[in-house]
Amino acid sequence: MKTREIVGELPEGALAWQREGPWTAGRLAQGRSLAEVLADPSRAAEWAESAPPFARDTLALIVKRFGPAPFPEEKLATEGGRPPFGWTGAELRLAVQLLRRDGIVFAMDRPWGDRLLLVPSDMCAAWRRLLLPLRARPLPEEAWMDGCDAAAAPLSHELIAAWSAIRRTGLPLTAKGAPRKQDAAKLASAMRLAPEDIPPLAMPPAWEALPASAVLALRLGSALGMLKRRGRAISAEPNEAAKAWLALPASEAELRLLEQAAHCLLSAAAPESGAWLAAESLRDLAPMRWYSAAEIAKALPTKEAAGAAEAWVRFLRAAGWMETGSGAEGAALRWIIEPNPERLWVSADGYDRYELMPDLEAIVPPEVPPGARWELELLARRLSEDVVAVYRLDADACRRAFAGGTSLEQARFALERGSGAPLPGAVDIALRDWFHAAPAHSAGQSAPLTEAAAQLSGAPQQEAHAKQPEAGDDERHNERYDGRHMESQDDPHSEAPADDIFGCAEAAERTGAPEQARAWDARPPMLSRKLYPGAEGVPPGWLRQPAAYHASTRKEIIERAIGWRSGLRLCKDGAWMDFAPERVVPAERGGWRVWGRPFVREAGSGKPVLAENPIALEAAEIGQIMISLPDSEFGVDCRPIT
Amino acid sequence: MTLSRKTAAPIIAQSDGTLLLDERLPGFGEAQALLRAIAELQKRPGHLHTYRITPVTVWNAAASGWTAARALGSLRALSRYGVPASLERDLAAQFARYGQLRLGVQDGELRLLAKEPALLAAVAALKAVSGWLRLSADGGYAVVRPDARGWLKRELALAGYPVIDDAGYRSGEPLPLALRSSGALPGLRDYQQAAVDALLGKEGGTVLAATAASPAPAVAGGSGVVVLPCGAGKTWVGIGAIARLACETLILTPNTMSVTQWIRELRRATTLGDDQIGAYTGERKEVRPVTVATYQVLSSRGGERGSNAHWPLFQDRNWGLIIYDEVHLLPAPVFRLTAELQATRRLGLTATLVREDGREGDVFALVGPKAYEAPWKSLEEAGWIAEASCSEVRVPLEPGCAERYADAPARARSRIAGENPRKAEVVRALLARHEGEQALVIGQYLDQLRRVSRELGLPLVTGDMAHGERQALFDRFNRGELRALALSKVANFAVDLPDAAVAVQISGSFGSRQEEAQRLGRILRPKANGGGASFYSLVSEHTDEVEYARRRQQFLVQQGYRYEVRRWAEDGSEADLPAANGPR
Repeated sequence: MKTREIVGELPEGALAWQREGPWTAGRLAQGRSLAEVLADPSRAAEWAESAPPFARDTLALIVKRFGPAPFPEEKLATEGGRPPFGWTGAELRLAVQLLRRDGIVFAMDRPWGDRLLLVPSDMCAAWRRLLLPLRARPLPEEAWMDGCDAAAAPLSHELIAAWSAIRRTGLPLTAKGAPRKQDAAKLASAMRLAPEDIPPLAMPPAWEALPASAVLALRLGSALGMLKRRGRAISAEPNEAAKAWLALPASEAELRLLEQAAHCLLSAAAPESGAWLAAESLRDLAPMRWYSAAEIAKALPTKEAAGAAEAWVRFLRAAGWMETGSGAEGAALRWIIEPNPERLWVSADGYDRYELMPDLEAIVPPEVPPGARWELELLARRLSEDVVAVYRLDADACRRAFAGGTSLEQARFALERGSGAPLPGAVDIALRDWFHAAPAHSAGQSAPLTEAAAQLSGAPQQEAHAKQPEAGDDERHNERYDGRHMESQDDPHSEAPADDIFGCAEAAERTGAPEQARAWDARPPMLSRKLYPGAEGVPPGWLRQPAAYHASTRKEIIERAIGWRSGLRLCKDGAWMDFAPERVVPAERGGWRVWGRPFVREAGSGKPVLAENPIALEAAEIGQIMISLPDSEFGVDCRPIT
Repeated sequence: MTLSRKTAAPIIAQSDGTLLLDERLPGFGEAQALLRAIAELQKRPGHLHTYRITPVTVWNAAASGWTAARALGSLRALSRYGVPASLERDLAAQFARYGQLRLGVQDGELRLLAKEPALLAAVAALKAVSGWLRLSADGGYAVVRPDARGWLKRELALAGYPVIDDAGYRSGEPLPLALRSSGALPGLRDYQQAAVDALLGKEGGTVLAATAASPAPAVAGGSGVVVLPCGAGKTWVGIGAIARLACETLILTPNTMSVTQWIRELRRATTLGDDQIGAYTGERKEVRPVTVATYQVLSSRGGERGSNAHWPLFQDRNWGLIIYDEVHLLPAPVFRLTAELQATRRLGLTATLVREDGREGDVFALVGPKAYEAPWKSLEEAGWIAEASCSEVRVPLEPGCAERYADAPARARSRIAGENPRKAEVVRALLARHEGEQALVIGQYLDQLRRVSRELGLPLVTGDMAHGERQALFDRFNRGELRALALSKVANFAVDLPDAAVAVQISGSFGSRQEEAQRLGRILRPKANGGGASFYSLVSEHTDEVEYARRRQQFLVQQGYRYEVRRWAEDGSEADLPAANGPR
């Protein structure tokens, strides 16, 4: 779930304390909404810089182990108890409270009592980039030449074509609410994306037998707002969000599509699979540089992610976003789009326009926004799709567009805007011929196409009559593709949730909980000693500084620390150590001993982490001792230096 | 592919082998030189030129000394979005394939030799060629059936294995001749010379040993096709090749008019005597050291069991060169025969490799690859062909005609539109506009032509007219005694009327791109006064003829020509098309 969706569902009580949090109050005062503030990636960097290390590491652990999937809190405790995590359970619990306070982690209670935590999917990606960057070195450019796989055109091009086909004919649904098998098969057969290249999709049962590529096209269309359900059919009617996507520069539109595809395909994957982490981590790689696949596997944060990367790369390659090859350095891969929003750079050098040629062909460079392709699909026939797409203006297509209500002026306007130049004479003449030749009585009467054609135009119908664009109107030629002009006024139903075409099952699947059962935790985070039951009752000295105690008191201190899952600072044989106690057991010769893990310096980073193997400390070996309890109230980081 | 863009790089390289070249960007000249070497130009309708890399273009580049590293290095440096990995791989693979297989003559046998014995074994196992090959005991070579030389190369090329043919060509019967060169006959123009050089090499034919496959001493060099615009002097390229090879030559042409013109040019431009040049047509059967025949006579069946009575013309004389004029019209029977004539050099001449029957591949395989092409606009810019302005004039249908058109079945409509009587008044007005210029009125339908001829008092030339009578009219036209001629589709090819500066096409054969190009070609000879040429295509408004015209114009538009579209108004004036006010 994205931040905006969560904020939209939060109870008023939760919203109240969220608004007053130290990371939100100031920003809200600048006039931004809570959702905007919480979903702002620049806030992430700032937070990470000043957050207590135990909170930062806890967030990294959450992102690494669960990604954006909801997870039970106790599972986090289990993960945190494993090396090489560097903090105790007490610190981890406090970290969760801090993360909730700061609007990074959200909690929901399920009816049967357990509690789930989650990081919103949009911000989870930002946290991953910040806290778990993939460090890999590209291969030298000259090292790579042979054995490269062909790159397909980016997925957006294929989807635009698929959605355009739906725009022309609609897609009827069966009584069970799924497309007919033959229609889905037809949709899939026109796509290059093979079902075996697509990770498993979670689907309502009626959809399960359909080709995965068709389902993905529909699901992405739905998620982006390009498709909607109208009674017993799916139609292509871009809503406001889709119009915004259509108007994006091509590179940004492709990136958004990648994100949406990852969301659709990976939200269903079990967090343990590492699929989300692999997909996100790969986005750190620089585009157009070859990387050794083996090196990438080593550099991924978990071995599960390394295992999952192969399948995701297969999908990326099929989607035309990545190339793979094999050469002297072994298997290698490279991005051919910019996968990282932070590096995204959009030029304004004019290549975002297509070239209309006098032989009636449109040469469409990769930088052309999807909206222009969407328009061309209505007026022209696609001849080829490679680095550039080639469309040919076509009498049949134009007549069809006209039958659907598109006027000659609208068509001319769209083509002049898309190409950024006056129409070549031959094109202008051809359009006039084709639009004039269309039977006049058919204008606007073809029910299935009327809405579709209205989507085409740069100029809405009324506007076309009011102000006829003229050749040489530079202002018009320089106008970018703009969602404002793209569609006719949406009807009130167009803003229905994108998931409409699938029903509610998808939404439930995405959050891991049935929608009606989702209850966000409105209780404010607990950031005081109350987080540790009985803390007020223990002698303050136990928490303040190490001291020598009687063996029975030492045992009591240790048992209290175990209860709180906190750490101990103690002196053994004259040396100080930090120790996470796990259990106290009787010793063979009477007395007791405590099992636990000492904190050790991690090789490389030098950070204190729990040791791999537990050790036992005899009661007599323990000298001065104190409980290391994190104390967020004072901003004190209690992690001692061993 | 939105990354690593070199903003000013002029080439867009695609994984399917197409390369788009932007003539507006710096580096265009360098890029054009590169693409001419490794790819072939498909079209140049605007500032984006489309080239295509194919195995054949790569093999040709390899034959010219290009290496994969050099080609790829240049392509990478000049490509806006880099070179797709698959294209790099294909390019490297095709470069590597060239030179792997070679046809040669050893010990009197025609042999196929391979750099790798494994490749030879693999090739010999191909079903399409296995019947023509016999592997030697040690697997070091394969003996080739002599009559299969052409078919073997064709099938192996289709299978992706280019064969370097070192078996040579028969030199043919020697024929001493020279080109005349005087003030009126300045010799070959630079591009004509370049075409001859591209075909034969600069040195001409190297004599090889005699073989069973070609009993006469053989010569090296190539066969191929030269593509030049109409009016650019393709005949001169043929004559240049004959003069360079100095051998007996068979020239095949589409019709008897063309036979006459070839003979006239040969007499005018070479030292050959009349007794050395023969015509082989339906009317005359002269077989002489240089014989000019029609495709039609060679395709006609007359022998026993349907065999062709005239095919011995190919085999019974020791021709050193066969020239296929207007090679895009080559009929299927002549294709078959050509496959068996691989020991004889072949030169195809055409203005366009577009074949309406889509058999461009057969021309490549059996006559030869494209050896040379000069784009139309380049020659126009250099002044070797006249600058032409092209117009499409939309003529409203006459009222009665419009009703007949509306009621007619689809198959009858194009004729009704083509014969629109109102076109006659447009022709009259256009001839008046171009008073002082020589004009041709060209049409598809004889009834229409007769009507126009009658109404406007124009002499009419049709295919039915006796050859002598036809030639007499042409001669009068060329002497300036006639200002205008009406021509049937005989004017599509090989009508040499160099001073014609205006052509009015009143009807045509549906959407034939090739016919449109040929008809424009009738007026492209450079004019003595340096003037341009005007081409008009009359099209009945709001009829199927409009779409046919659009298709007909495609080839010329892709060559860079622009059609101005005007409307013939009711009052007889010409105007821009009406402004678009929405559908009616």
